[in-house]
Order: sequence, then structure tokens, then C-alpha cells
Amino acid sequence: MRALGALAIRQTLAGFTLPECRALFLALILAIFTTSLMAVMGDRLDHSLSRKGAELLGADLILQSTRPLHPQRTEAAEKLGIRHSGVTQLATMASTEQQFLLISLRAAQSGYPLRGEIHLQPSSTSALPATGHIWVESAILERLGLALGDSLTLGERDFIISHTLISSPDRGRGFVSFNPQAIIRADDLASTGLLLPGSRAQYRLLFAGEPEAISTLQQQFKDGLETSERLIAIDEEEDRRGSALSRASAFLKLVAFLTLLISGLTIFLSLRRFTRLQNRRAALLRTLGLNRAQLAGVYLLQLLGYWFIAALVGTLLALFAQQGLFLLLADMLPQPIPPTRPLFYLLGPAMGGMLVVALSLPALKQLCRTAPADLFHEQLQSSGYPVRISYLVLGLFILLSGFFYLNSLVLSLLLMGILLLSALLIAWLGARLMVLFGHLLQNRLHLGSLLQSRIQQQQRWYRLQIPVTCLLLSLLSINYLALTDLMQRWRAELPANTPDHFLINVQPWETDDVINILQQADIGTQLWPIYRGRLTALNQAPLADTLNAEQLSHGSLNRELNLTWADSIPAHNSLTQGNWQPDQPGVSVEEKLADELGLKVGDLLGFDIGGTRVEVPINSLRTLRWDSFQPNFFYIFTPAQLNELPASFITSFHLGDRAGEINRNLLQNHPTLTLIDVRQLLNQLQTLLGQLAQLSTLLLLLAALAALLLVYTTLHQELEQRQKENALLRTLGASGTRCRQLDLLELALTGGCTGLLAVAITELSLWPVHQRLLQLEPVLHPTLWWALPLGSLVLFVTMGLISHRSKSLSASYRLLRQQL
Amino acid sequence: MDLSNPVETQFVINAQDVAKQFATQAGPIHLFSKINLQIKPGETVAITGPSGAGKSSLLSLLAGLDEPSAGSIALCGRTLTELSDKQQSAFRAASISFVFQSFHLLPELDALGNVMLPLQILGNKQAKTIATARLEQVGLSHRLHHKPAQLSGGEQQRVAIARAFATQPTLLFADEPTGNLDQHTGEQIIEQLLQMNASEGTTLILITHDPALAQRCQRVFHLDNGQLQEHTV
Repeated sequence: MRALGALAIRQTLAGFTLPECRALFLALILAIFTTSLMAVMGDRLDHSLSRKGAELLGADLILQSTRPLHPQRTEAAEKLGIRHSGVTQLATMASTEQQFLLISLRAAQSGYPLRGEIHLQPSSTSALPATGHIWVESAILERLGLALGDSLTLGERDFIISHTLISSPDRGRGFVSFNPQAIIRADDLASTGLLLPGSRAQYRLLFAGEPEAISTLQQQFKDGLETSERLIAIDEEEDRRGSALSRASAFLKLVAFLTLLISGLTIFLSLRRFTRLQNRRAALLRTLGLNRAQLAGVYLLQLLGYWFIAALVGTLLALFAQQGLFLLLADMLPQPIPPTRPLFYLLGPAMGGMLVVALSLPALKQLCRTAPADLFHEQLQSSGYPVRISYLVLGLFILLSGFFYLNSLVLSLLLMGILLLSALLIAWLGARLMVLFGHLLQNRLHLGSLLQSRIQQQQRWYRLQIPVTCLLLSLLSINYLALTDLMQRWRAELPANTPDHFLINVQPWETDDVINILQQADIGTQLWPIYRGRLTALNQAPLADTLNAEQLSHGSLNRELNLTWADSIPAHNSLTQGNWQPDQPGVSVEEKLADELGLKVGDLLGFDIGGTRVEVPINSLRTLRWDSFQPNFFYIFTPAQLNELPASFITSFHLGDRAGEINRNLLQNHPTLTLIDVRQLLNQLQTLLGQLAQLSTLLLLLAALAALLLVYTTLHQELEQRQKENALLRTLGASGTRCRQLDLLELALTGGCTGLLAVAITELSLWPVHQRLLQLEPVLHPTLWWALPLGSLVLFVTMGLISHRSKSLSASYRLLRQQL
Repeated sequence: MDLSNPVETQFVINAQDVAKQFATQAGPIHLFSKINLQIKPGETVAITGPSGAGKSSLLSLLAGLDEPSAGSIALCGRTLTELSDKQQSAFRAASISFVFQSFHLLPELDALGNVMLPLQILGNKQAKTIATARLEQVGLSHRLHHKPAQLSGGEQQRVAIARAFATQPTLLFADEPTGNLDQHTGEQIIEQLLQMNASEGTTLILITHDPALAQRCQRVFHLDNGQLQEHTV
């Protein structure tokens, strides 16, 4: 046995000099690396996302409102023996002598949070900041150049920064949760003067207790939920998995599946070639006295040797790569990210082992049947590769891994079907295109006829190389173009004087002074009053009686909207129906919303605005541009409809380079104002998109690497036929240079055709992506039309040069004569 | 069943009415039929015949690597086709060796490793000593650690001969052992083969095109038109 083990080890090491073994080994590394990486990342992401349960929610149940919550809510909880606490969260400006920063401030009551922990640096036993103290995230310290012990101004009050906030549950939802966070005591909030009528704040009550009691309370709240209130439970929180991160996770799995599929194909082709070339050797070992079981053992050990080394390399790579990728994702994930369970690292090696054993067993069985007598014949009978069984095994494997990654048998079957159909279609198109070009070049090139006959012979390889490379190139291009188009055109569409600042929380008594300050700086602007309210009735009937189910689930009906009034329709809006009559009671409705809710000019709309009912007819419909960076409203009332109600004001303007000076001026005079720098938000968004783009590109590159390996393998496998053909051409008088030219010409043509098809697929796919998903006007990408075919051409020629290098004619002959 | 020691018998090869035919799309092809051949221990036998006469196929049958379409072949008193694959392999490892026209050495093993391999398969603890001695015997003591690619054709065939004799086989089958070598090297190789065969008392079955080479064996058979006839030496 030891002798056989030693033989297997020697065979394994010697195998590294064979291209098919190298390809098999590299494909295995890729498959193992991808599986482990995705398993580990998936686990950490899932873990991280599922912590959005109680631990991240900070409670078992949260009642959130845009208005202060009624004390009855806590009384109901107390009756059920449920603990409770409260927090008020608002976006506000934090300032030092020199700088301002938009932050998300939480003013917490004792006991907050009820679940999970707030982690501080230095650590503290105190559950809340001391009076006059504030805990801030390190981003605030960094961006304002502060250190612990320094003072930070919020509204009209200064606070001492006592601790750095490392992590905390209940970061809030929506806009406020994006900003760097800070926590103060609830008692300190009033003294800042930040909370005024119409201020945009979230009031939250947190509850924790026995599941049954929580469930009862949840039901009670549901039954009497006010229009401004929203109930957040753990299960609802988990439903939020349709977030960008979940989509990233799904994308991750899809790319992993694709990489695995291509690696599986490479392993399949390499094994096929490997077993074919091992016939003579197997026959020799049989004549030396090895029985079939021993022979199978030697080969299985050899393949497991490759698997073992690949498993080590792949797992180590996955370990490093996931750390790198999580660094990239750090900003998007709630910290700290839970560590990986070591078991998940074993998934890659387990999958790789299964793949090798499942794909090689039928082939090894066939190999062990090699007749030793074959050694006496110069033309060795190939024991062949059990193609049908192996296709079946490969198909089953792909289906299973598809199921593993996509979590749905139907989806993985569908995906396999789509991939197979697209591949077949591209294969057919690619092969036809090659024939067409061959025909066109036949009489135009010196090597035209030889090229034509070569193209006819190599059809079966084109049918594999072209679709795989083409699909991968298309995916990479679509991914890259969709993201860059989105970012570039977004920026391109902003005119020079597009507003770059929003000013919110302006109180009625501050409006004149704010306008003055802005006018002194030559900034003409209009302040818009903001009222929070929602549509509750149509033509004096409740919405439930007048709208259908689809209309009732419309997003604008399930939350409070910003309402306003104006003397005239804003310049960036245009009336499409009806008339704006400022002296008549009326409301102008955004056209798309009106269309979706079935609202017409003349309909009587009923609104609930902070408990006050307002009824008003629709006087007009209008269109607007949401990306104009101007305050935009679904509903604009004519004057005198809302005058009696409390409001705060909003405006937007362009500051450009003068931002620092005017910001200071505004906030020094009115410390409770909130100034939102759009450029900062855009930068944040672009960083986020950039990170997602980097992540997806990195992952797609992994798939592309698998595809390159497959192309290399196929090019190498067709080498034998090429060498024979070239040898024949040489004997007929062709020079070595001409044979090489023919090879390069064919490879360049294959690359070019692949690139052309990839361009067509990319443009065709981007059309609906642009139109539906990104809502951009679809355009062609002229650069793509030369860059992709050229890139693909260079790729094929390079791969060809690498796989064909150092194979002189004499070496080819030797290779063919003594393949043992 | 102990297969390492041959059964005491008058003939090491006893072929009775052996026939071989192949099925093709155009119908069966009869390669040969009614072949009878008895070979005693230690004999040297040459089989000659034109290309395509079926010499190599006959060799495969006689070595127990293939099954006859009819008739029976006993090696050392055993009908190999009646044994299991494991038993056949054990018998082959202990009693039969081959020398091929194309040498067939394992490229990743050096000369010593190639000669040691059949001994290691048998589980012989003295594999290295024996293999070194065999390589010295064929004049390659200075090439022990050279890989096949670093050896000339003649040297490779000598390694193959050393490998063939390493297990002290009862039967040695050689298929055109000089076919890939120039005349001078070929003669040296044959000299070596016959010399070692004589000293080991191995039974040698040699397939060759070369009448001069055939004449150096004790018995010469000619295979043509499906008939095997013995010529007097």
C-alpha cells in the first residue's frame, strides 16, 4: 500500500507539468475559494442582518411616531407587565467654533435600550450619558477635529464629549440613520431648543417583555394606530431583507453560482482530457501487476491530492478575501460584524471533494477497464470518457449547488434553463459568425482558405469558448456600464446652479431673518411651509370605500406626506390639467400620483393634518422633476387653506464655494436650523455605490477568472489537433511562421466574434435595465463597440500564446508519440 | 490461493485450439484459429510474421492479457481467464514481465524508481537493492537517478529490461524490443536480453520482424494467414 501511496504522490506532483492537471487544480482552487468565500460571507451577512432582531432593534417592539406619543401607550404596556423606555431622534447640526456637521441625535430615557447593548470607548457602567454630556461616534470626532473632553454645540446648548460610541442598537430608520450618531439624555433635549413645532423628529417608545404580552400589546397598538404612528416588530424588521444588502447578498450568490458552474465545466473538461491521456499509463501499471482496485486507488489518491492542496490554498484565500471584502462593506453593515463560524470554511473543500469524486468516479471506472493488451498496439484504443454519465453528474451537481445558492429548486432550474438556452443560442450564432467571417476572408487573405478549413474543423470548440466568454464579458460590461451610467448621467444632468443645500426646521419667526441673510449673500429663495399629513378621504368617502386594493397599498397613503401651500406653482413644475386659482380653495396634485390613485380635477380630497381635517377640491394636475434638488410636493394647496396650522419651513439653494461662510452666518444666528449639504449626501451615496460597484466587479472578476481558465483549457485541448494539422502543413511546405500566423488569425477572429456578440448582448440587456430599473433614457455605448471586441481579441490571442507556447514542432511530435 | 509460486507443470504455456476473432460492422474477422502451442520452462521462443498477421494479439493472449474467442490457454498450469482480476494481477506481478517496443517507462520516475516499481507492487522490502543491482547488470549504474527524458533510446530500453527482470519472472514477453532502436543499439539490447534470460532461466517469448534475431531463439514460429507453424532452427 505504501508503494501505491508513494506512486500516487509522485503521479500527483508529476501531474503539475501536465496542462490538464494544472487546469483541474486551478479550477478546483477557484471552485473551493468561491464556495468558501460565499459561504463565509453569506453567513456573516445573514448573521449581521438577522441581528436586526431584538439585539439591533433595541427592543421587542417599537412604536414610532412623527409626533410625541401619548402617555396611554406606556400605561397599556405597564398593565401587561412590559418594560418600556423612550427615545427621540432627529437630524440636527452639531457645531464647533469653526465647523458644522449634520448628525443624528438620540435623546434617550433611562433603561434605553431594552435589548442589546451600547458599546462605548472608554467603557462605562453608566446606562446613559451624564447631564450635559454626550456620546458621539468617531466619525463626528474625525470630521469636526474633536477629542474626548471637548465641547460640542447642539442648538443652544454646549455638551462635553465623554465617550466614543462604538456601536448601539436602534440606529433609527430612513434618512436619520445615515448620519453619524450621538446620544444625550432625554432631559437635556429641551434645553437645546431643537424641538419646536413642526420639527422633523422621530419619537419612539421601546417595549420588552414576555412574547405573549408583547403579542397582545402589538395587537392593541395595531387596532388603534394613529396616522402618524408606525409599529416595528422583530418579524417586520426581518422582512426588510429586500434592502440593498440583501440584494448584494443575492448578487453574491448568483456570481458564486456562475463561478462554480464555469469551474465545474473546466474540471469536467480537464478530467475528461486527463483520463483520456492516462490510458497507456493505466495499461502499463496493469502489466506491472496492479489490479483494477489498486489502479483506481492510485488515481483517486492522485486526484484527492490535487483536491487537498486546492482545499488548503482555496480556504486560505477565502479567509483573506472575506476580511478584505468586509473592510469594503464596513460602512454598510451594522458593526461589529459577527465572526464566522469555522464550519463554513469547510463548505468549499467539501464541495470541491464531492465535485472531484462525483465527476472522476465514472471516468476512473472506465480507466480501470483499460486492457493491458492495448500496449501492444501503436494506435491505442481510447477507453473513452463516460460522457453521458458525467454530463448527468455535472447537471445534478449544478442543480444541487443552484439549489444551495438560490434556495429554490424552481429558480435554479429556471436559471439553468435560461443559461443553457442563451449559451446554445450564442454558441450557434458564434459558430455561424465564424463561418461567415471565414467565408468573407477566404479570397481576401493569403491564409484565407486554410483559415476557412480550420474554422470548419474547430466548430465544436467555438461552441464552448464563445458562449462562456461572451456571457462573462457581457455580465462584466453590464455591471460596469449600468453603475457608471447611473452616476455619470446623474451628475451630468445637474445644471451649474442646482441647489446644493436644503435648509429645514426653519420656524415661522425665523423666516424673515433667514431670507435676509440669504438675500445679503445674493441668494434669492422661496421658503415653503411644511405640514405633515395624509390623504384620508376622497369625495367625502373613506379611501377604503373609493380605492381598489392596489391603490390602497400605494406608498403615499401609508405614511405622512409633506404638504405645503403657495401663491403660485413652482417654476420647476408644469401644469398639465386644470387651472391654478390662488384665490379659490384648491389643491394641485402631482400627475403620476393622481393617475395611480385615479384622482381627477374636481375631486374633493380629505386630509388629516395633525388631527385637523381639511377638505379641498383638486384644481389642477402638474408634473415635476424629483431630481431637481428643489423642494417637491405631491400636494400644493392654494393660500389660506392651512394658515391656522403650525408649520416649519423648508428651502433649497445653491451655495457652491461660499458654503462655509453662509452656513456659519445662518447657524450662529439660528442654532436650531438644520442645514443639509446635498453634495455631502451625494458623495456618501456615490461612495456607497462605488463600494457596491467595487464589490460586484471583484466578484465578477472571480467569475471571469474561471472563464479565462476554461478558455485556456479548451485552447490547450484543441492544441493536439492543431499540432497534427500544423505538422501536416509543414510537411506540405508551409513555414512555421505561416502556421503560427494561421493560429493567431483564427484566435483573433474567435476573440473578435465573441466580443461583437458580447457587445450586442450588453446593449440589448442595458436597454431594459436603463428604461425600467434606472429610469434613464437608453443610449448606445460607442466605445463598447470597439473596446469589447478588441479586448476579447487580445484576450484570446494572449491565452492562445500562453497555452501554445514552447511547443515546437519536434516537441509536438514527441508529445504525440510518447503520451504516457 | 497462493499465486506467487507457479504450479509444477511440464509446460509454462499450454495453448490448445486457440482462436481469436473480432466483430466489425462488416462482419466478424477471424485473426487466427486452431492454434496449439506448448512451451517448456526456460525456452526462448520467437514469433515472426508479416504486419497485421496478429502477432501482438497472440502475444496478448499467451500473456493472459486478453481472452481467446475459443480454446484455452494455461500459464504455469493455470487458466488465467478463470481467475478474478485480483488473482490475475497478483499472478502477473509475480510471474510475468514485459518489454515493449516503445519502452513505456513512467516519465516522472528516475531509472531506479522505474525498476523498483514492480518490486514495490509485490511488497518487496529489498526493492532498492535489487533494482540497483539490476541496473548495474544492464550497465546503467551511473544513470540511476536520471529520468527517462534524460536517457537515450537504448538506455531507456535497458532500464525496461532491468525492470522486466527485477521480479525474476517465470515468463518474459518482448514485443519488438528493438523496433525503435538503430541496428547497432538493437543488437546490444538483444545481446543483453538473451544473456540475462539465460542466466535467470526465464522463458522468453519474443515477437520480431527480424529473421536474424528470431534465429537466435531456440524455437521459431511463423504466423501467417491465421496459421502458426514452427520452423526448424
